[in-house]
Amino acid sequence: MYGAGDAVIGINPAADSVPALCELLRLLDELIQRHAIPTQSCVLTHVSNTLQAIELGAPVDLVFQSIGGTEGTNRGFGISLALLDEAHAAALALKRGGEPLMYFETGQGSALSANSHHSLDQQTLEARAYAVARRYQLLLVNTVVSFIGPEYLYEGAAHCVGR
Amino acid sequence: MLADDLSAAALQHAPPLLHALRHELADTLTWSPPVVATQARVALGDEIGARLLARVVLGLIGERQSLSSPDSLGAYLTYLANAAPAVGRSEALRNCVSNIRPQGLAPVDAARRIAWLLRESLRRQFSGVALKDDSETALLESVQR
Repeated sequence: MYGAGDAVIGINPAADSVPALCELLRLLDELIQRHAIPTQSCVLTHVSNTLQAIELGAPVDLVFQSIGGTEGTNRGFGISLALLDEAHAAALALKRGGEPLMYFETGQGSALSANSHHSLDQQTLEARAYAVARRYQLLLVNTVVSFIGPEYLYEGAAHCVGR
Repeated sequence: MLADDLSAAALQHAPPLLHALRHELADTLTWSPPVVATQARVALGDEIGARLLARVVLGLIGERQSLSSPDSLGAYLTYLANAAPAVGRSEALRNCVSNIRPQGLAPVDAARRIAWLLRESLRRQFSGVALKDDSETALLESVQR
Protein backbone atom coordinates (compact mmCIF):
# COMPACT_ATOMS: atom_id res chain seq x y z
CA MET A 1 0.00 0.00 0.00
CA TYR A 2 1.18 3.51 -0.80
CA GLY A 3 -1.32 5.35 1.38
CA ALA A 4 -2.66 7.03 -1.74
CA GLY A 5 -6.20 5.72 -1.80
CA ASP A 6 -5.07 2.34 -3.07
CA ALA A 7 -6.22 0.25 -0.11
CA VAL A 8 -9.77 0.01 -1.34
CA ILE A 9 -11.88 1.05 -4.31
CA GLY A 10 -15.24 2.06 -2.90
CA ILE A 11 -18.62 2.97 -4.27
CA ASN A 12 -21.21 4.85 -2.25
CA PRO A 13 -24.46 4.02 -4.06
CA ALA A 14 -27.51 6.31 -3.95
CA ALA A 15 -29.94 3.51 -3.18
CA ASP A 16 -29.78 0.32 -1.15
CA SER A 17 -30.74 -2.38 -3.60
CA VAL A 18 -29.20 -5.83 -3.19
CA PRO A 19 -29.28 -6.71 -6.93
CA ALA A 20 -27.55 -3.40 -7.76
CA LEU A 21 -25.08 -4.02 -4.94
CA CYS A 22 -24.21 -7.45 -6.35
CA GLU A 23 -23.76 -6.02 -9.84
CA LEU A 24 -21.45 -3.26 -8.59
CA LEU A 25 -19.40 -5.81 -6.61
CA ARG A 26 -19.08 -8.01 -9.70
CA LEU A 27 -18.00 -5.07 -11.89
CA LEU A 28 -15.38 -3.95 -9.37
CA ASP A 29 -14.10 -7.50 -8.96
CA GLU A 30 -13.79 -7.88 -12.73
CA LEU A 31 -11.86 -4.60 -12.96
CA ILE A 32 -9.49 -5.60 -10.16
CA GLN A 33 -8.94 -9.11 -11.56
CA ARG A 34 -8.49 -8.03 -15.19
CA HIS A 35 -5.79 -5.50 -14.34
CA ALA A 36 -4.40 -7.49 -11.41
CA ILE A 37 -4.72 -4.44 -9.16
CA PRO A 38 -3.43 -5.12 -5.65
CA THR A 39 -6.50 -3.67 -3.95
CA GLN A 40 -9.97 -4.56 -2.68
CA SER A 41 -13.48 -3.35 -3.37
CA CYS A 42 -16.24 -2.18 -1.11
CA VAL A 43 -19.77 -1.00 -1.85
CA LEU A 44 -21.00 1.09 1.05
CA THR A 45 -24.31 -0.35 2.14
CA HIS A 46 -26.06 -1.62 5.23
CA VAL A 47 -24.42 -4.71 6.72
CA SER A 48 -27.67 -6.69 6.29
CA ASN A 49 -27.48 -5.98 2.54
CA THR A 50 -23.88 -7.19 2.46
CA LEU A 51 -24.99 -10.39 4.21
CA GLN A 52 -27.63 -10.96 1.51
CA ALA A 53 -25.05 -10.24 -1.19
CA ILE A 54 -22.72 -12.86 0.32
CA GLU A 55 -25.60 -15.37 0.34
CA LEU A 56 -26.17 -14.58 -3.35
CA GLY A 57 -22.53 -15.33 -4.10
CA ALA A 58 -21.32 -11.79 -4.69
CA PRO A 59 -17.54 -11.17 -4.41
CA VAL A 60 -17.44 -9.28 -1.10
CA ASP A 61 -13.94 -8.18 -0.05
CA LEU A 62 -14.86 -5.87 2.80
CA VAL A 63 -17.82 -5.39 5.13
CA PHE A 64 -18.86 -1.78 5.57
CA GLN A 65 -21.04 -0.36 8.32
CA SER A 66 -21.69 2.88 10.20
CA ILE A 67 -21.28 2.30 13.91
CA GLY A 68 -21.99 4.26 17.06
CA GLY A 69 -20.82 4.34 20.64
CA THR A 70 -24.04 3.33 22.39
CA GLU A 71 -26.45 0.44 21.98
CA GLY A 72 -29.29 2.83 21.10
CA THR A 73 -27.23 4.53 18.38
CA ASN A 74 -26.47 1.17 16.84
CA ARG A 75 -30.15 0.23 17.06
CA GLY A 76 -30.80 3.44 15.12
CA PHE A 77 -28.36 2.17 12.49
CA GLY A 78 -30.30 -1.10 12.43
CA ILE A 79 -27.38 -3.11 13.77
CA SER A 80 -26.21 -5.00 16.84
CA LEU A 81 -22.85 -6.51 17.76
CA ALA A 82 -24.33 -9.93 16.92
CA LEU A 83 -25.19 -8.77 13.39
CA LEU A 84 -21.67 -7.35 12.91
CA ASP A 85 -20.23 -10.66 14.13
CA GLU A 86 -22.44 -12.56 11.68
CA ALA A 87 -21.36 -10.40 8.73
CA HIS A 88 -17.70 -10.66 9.76
CA ALA A 89 -17.92 -14.45 9.96
CA ALA A 90 -19.73 -14.67 6.61
CA ALA A 91 -17.15 -12.52 4.83
CA LEU A 92 -14.29 -14.42 6.45
CA ALA A 93 -15.81 -17.69 5.21
CA LEU A 94 -15.53 -16.45 1.61
CA LYS A 95 -11.74 -16.78 2.00
CA ARG A 96 -11.07 -13.96 -0.46
CA GLY A 97 -8.36 -11.97 1.29
CA GLY A 98 -8.81 -12.77 4.94
CA GLU A 99 -8.29 -10.20 7.66
CA PRO A 100 -8.58 -7.31 7.95
CA LEU A 101 -12.01 -7.12 6.32
CA MET A 102 -14.03 -4.59 8.29
CA TYR A 103 -14.51 -1.00 7.20
CA PHE A 104 -16.38 1.24 9.65
CA GLU A 105 -17.59 4.77 9.69
CA THR A 106 -18.51 6.70 12.81
CA GLY A 107 -21.18 9.30 12.21
CA GLN A 108 -20.33 11.89 14.80
CA GLY A 109 -23.58 13.41 16.01
CA SER A 110 -25.65 10.33 15.26
CA ALA A 111 -25.91 9.39 18.97
CA LEU A 112 -27.48 12.76 19.76
CA SER A 113 -29.63 12.54 16.64
CA ALA A 114 -30.93 9.14 17.79
CA ASN A 115 -31.45 10.53 21.30
CA SER A 116 -29.15 7.77 22.53
CA HIS A 117 -26.24 9.87 23.78
CA HIS A 118 -27.14 9.58 27.48
CA SER A 119 -25.89 13.18 27.93
CA LEU A 120 -22.34 12.07 27.10
CA ASP A 121 -19.99 14.39 25.27
CA GLN A 122 -19.15 13.68 21.66
CA GLN A 123 -15.51 12.79 22.32
CA THR A 124 -16.52 10.03 24.74
CA LEU A 125 -19.16 8.73 22.33
CA GLU A 126 -16.60 8.65 19.54
CA ALA A 127 -14.14 6.75 21.71
CA ARG A 128 -16.90 4.26 22.54
CA ALA A 129 -17.57 3.78 18.81
CA TYR A 130 -13.90 2.86 18.41
CA ALA A 131 -14.41 0.30 21.16
CA VAL A 132 -17.04 -1.32 18.92
CA ALA A 133 -14.62 -1.18 15.98
CA ARG A 134 -11.71 -2.80 17.82
CA ARG A 135 -13.65 -6.01 18.29
CA TYR A 136 -12.39 -6.75 14.77
CA GLN A 137 -9.24 -6.50 12.72
CA LEU A 138 -9.84 -3.32 10.77
CA LEU A 139 -8.94 -2.09 7.36
CA LEU A 140 -10.26 1.35 8.20
CA VAL A 141 -12.25 3.41 10.65
CA ASN A 142 -13.37 6.62 9.01
CA THR A 143 -14.51 9.27 11.46
CA VAL A 144 -17.19 11.25 9.71
CA VAL A 145 -17.72 14.75 11.02
CA SER A 146 -20.44 17.25 10.17
CA PHE A 147 -22.30 14.83 7.92
CA ILE A 148 -25.43 15.27 9.98
CA GLY A 149 -25.06 19.02 10.28
CA PRO A 150 -23.04 21.65 12.06
CA GLU A 151 -25.73 22.22 14.67
CA TYR A 152 -24.61 19.07 16.48
CA LEU A 153 -21.27 20.64 17.36
CA TYR A 154 -20.96 23.15 20.20
CA GLU A 155 -17.80 24.53 18.63
CA GLY A 156 -15.18 23.59 16.03
CA ALA A 157 -12.91 22.09 18.68
CA ALA A 158 -15.64 19.57 19.49
CA HIS A 159 -14.58 17.56 16.44
CA CYS A 160 -12.94 14.32 17.36
CA VAL A 161 -10.36 13.95 14.63
CA GLY A 162 -8.30 10.88 14.00
CA ARG A 163 -8.44 8.75 10.93
CA MET B 1 -43.68 16.42 3.81
CA LEU B 2 -41.34 18.77 1.97
CA ALA B 3 -38.49 20.24 4.00
CA ASP B 4 -35.70 22.55 2.89
CA ASP B 5 -33.30 21.45 5.65
CA LEU B 6 -29.74 21.72 4.28
CA SER B 7 -30.66 22.59 0.70
CA ALA B 8 -33.66 24.65 -0.37
CA ALA B 9 -32.42 24.33 -3.97
CA ALA B 10 -33.02 20.57 -3.85
CA LEU B 11 -36.77 21.12 -3.47
CA GLN B 12 -36.94 22.13 -7.15
CA HIS B 13 -36.75 18.38 -7.88
CA ALA B 14 -39.76 17.62 -5.69
CA PRO B 15 -42.53 18.63 -8.17
CA PRO B 16 -41.27 16.36 -11.02
CA LEU B 17 -40.71 13.57 -8.49
CA LEU B 18 -44.21 13.86 -7.01
CA HIS B 19 -45.75 14.14 -10.47
CA ALA B 20 -44.00 10.92 -11.56
CA LEU B 21 -44.86 9.23 -8.26
CA ARG B 22 -48.57 9.99 -8.60
CA HIS B 23 -48.41 8.66 -12.15
CA GLU B 24 -46.64 5.46 -10.95
CA LEU B 25 -49.14 4.81 -8.19
CA ALA B 26 -52.18 5.99 -10.16
CA ASP B 27 -55.31 5.27 -8.13
CA THR B 28 -53.85 2.89 -5.56
CA LEU B 29 -53.33 5.47 -2.80
CA THR B 30 -55.13 8.31 -1.10
CA TRP B 31 -52.77 11.26 -0.79
CA SER B 32 -52.86 13.86 1.93
CA PRO B 33 -52.12 17.43 0.90
CA PRO B 34 -48.35 18.04 0.84
CA VAL B 35 -47.04 19.72 3.99
CA VAL B 36 -44.22 22.22 3.60
CA ALA B 37 -42.07 22.41 6.71
CA THR B 38 -39.23 24.91 6.82
CA GLN B 39 -36.03 24.11 8.71
CA ALA B 40 -37.44 20.64 9.44
CA ARG B 41 -35.70 17.29 9.85
CA VAL B 42 -36.85 13.83 8.83
CA ALA B 43 -38.48 12.88 12.14
CA LEU B 44 -41.02 15.72 11.96
CA GLY B 45 -42.79 13.68 9.29
CA ASP B 46 -43.74 11.09 11.92
CA GLU B 47 -45.79 13.62 13.86
CA ILE B 48 -47.29 15.18 10.75
CA GLY B 49 -48.24 11.74 9.48
CA ALA B 50 -49.77 10.79 12.82
CA ARG B 51 -51.95 13.93 12.84
CA LEU B 52 -53.08 13.24 9.28
CA LEU B 53 -53.78 9.58 10.22
CA ALA B 54 -51.46 8.54 7.40
CA ARG B 55 -50.28 4.95 7.03
CA VAL B 56 -47.02 6.04 5.41
CA VAL B 57 -45.19 9.35 5.38
CA LEU B 58 -42.76 10.35 2.66
CA GLY B 59 -40.35 13.09 3.65
CA LEU B 60 -38.60 14.93 0.82
CA ILE B 61 -35.62 16.67 2.37
CA GLY B 62 -33.05 19.01 0.87
CA GLU B 63 -29.55 17.60 1.30
CA ARG B 64 -26.05 18.45 0.15
CA GLN B 65 -23.87 15.34 0.20
CA SER B 66 -20.89 17.25 -1.15
CA LEU B 67 -19.94 20.56 -2.75
CA SER B 68 -20.58 19.00 -6.15
CA SER B 69 -24.15 18.01 -5.24
CA PRO B 70 -25.65 21.03 -3.46
CA ASP B 71 -29.19 20.32 -4.72
CA SER B 72 -29.56 16.70 -3.65
CA LEU B 73 -33.05 15.62 -2.64
CA GLY B 74 -33.44 12.77 -0.15
CA ALA B 75 -36.65 10.76 0.18
CA TYR B 76 -37.37 9.11 3.54
CA LEU B 77 -40.21 6.64 3.75
CA THR B 78 -41.63 5.59 7.11
CA TYR B 79 -44.50 3.19 7.76
CA LEU B 80 -46.60 4.74 10.53
CA ALA B 81 -49.55 2.41 11.17
CA ASN B 82 -47.72 0.28 13.71
CA ALA B 83 -47.06 0.30 17.43
CA ALA B 84 -43.95 2.51 17.25
CA PRO B 85 -44.35 5.86 19.02
CA ALA B 86 -45.03 8.91 16.84
CA VAL B 87 -42.14 10.69 18.54
CA GLY B 88 -38.69 9.16 18.82
CA ARG B 89 -39.01 6.49 16.16
CA SER B 90 -35.76 4.67 15.39
CA GLU B 91 -33.98 5.73 12.19
CA ALA B 92 -33.65 2.04 11.35
CA LEU B 93 -37.40 2.05 10.62
CA ARG B 94 -36.99 4.31 7.59
CA ASN B 95 -36.10 3.64 3.95
CA CYS B 96 -34.04 6.24 2.14
CA VAL B 97 -33.60 7.01 -1.53
CA SER B 98 -30.92 9.66 -1.84
CA ASN B 99 -29.21 11.95 -4.34
CA ILE B 100 -32.37 12.65 -6.33
CA ARG B 101 -31.42 15.26 -8.95
CA PRO B 102 -30.92 15.22 -12.71
CA GLN B 103 -27.15 14.53 -12.38
CA GLY B 104 -27.75 11.78 -9.83
CA LEU B 105 -30.84 9.60 -9.57
CA ALA B 106 -33.28 11.26 -11.99
CA PRO B 107 -36.66 12.13 -10.40
CA VAL B 108 -38.52 9.74 -12.75
CA ASP B 109 -36.24 6.81 -11.76
CA ALA B 110 -36.46 7.77 -8.08
CA ALA B 111 -40.26 7.76 -8.39
CA ARG B 112 -40.18 4.12 -9.55
CA ARG B 113 -38.05 3.11 -6.57
CA ILE B 114 -40.19 5.03 -4.11
CA ALA B 115 -43.41 3.69 -5.63
CA TRP B 116 -42.09 0.15 -5.19
CA LEU B 117 -41.10 0.85 -1.59
CA LEU B 118 -44.47 2.47 -0.85
CA ARG B 119 -46.42 -0.47 -2.25
CA GLU B 120 -44.27 -3.04 -0.44
CA SER B 121 -44.31 -1.08 2.80
CA LEU B 122 -48.13 -0.96 2.77
CA ARG B 123 -48.37 -4.63 1.84
CA ARG B 124 -45.88 -5.89 4.44
CA GLN B 125 -46.84 -3.25 7.03
CA PHE B 126 -43.35 -2.12 7.92
CA SER B 127 -40.47 -0.05 6.62
CA GLY B 128 -36.77 0.30 7.36
CA VAL B 129 -33.78 -2.01 7.37
CA ALA B 130 -35.97 -5.11 7.01
CA LEU B 131 -37.61 -3.77 3.82
CA LYS B 132 -35.06 -4.40 1.08
CA ASP B 133 -35.30 -2.32 -2.09
CA ASP B 134 -35.91 -4.95 -4.76
CA SER B 135 -37.20 -2.47 -7.33
CA GLU B 136 -33.96 -2.85 -9.31
CA THR B 137 -35.19 -5.95 -11.09
CA ALA B 138 -38.30 -4.11 -12.23
CA LEU B 139 -36.15 -1.12 -13.27
CA LEU B 140 -33.79 -3.27 -15.29
CA GLU B 141 -36.72 -4.96 -17.00
CA SER B 142 -38.22 -1.57 -17.90
CA VAL B 143 -34.85 -0.39 -19.29
CA GLN B 144 -34.54 -3.54 -21.39
CA ARG B 145 -38.02 -2.94 -22.78
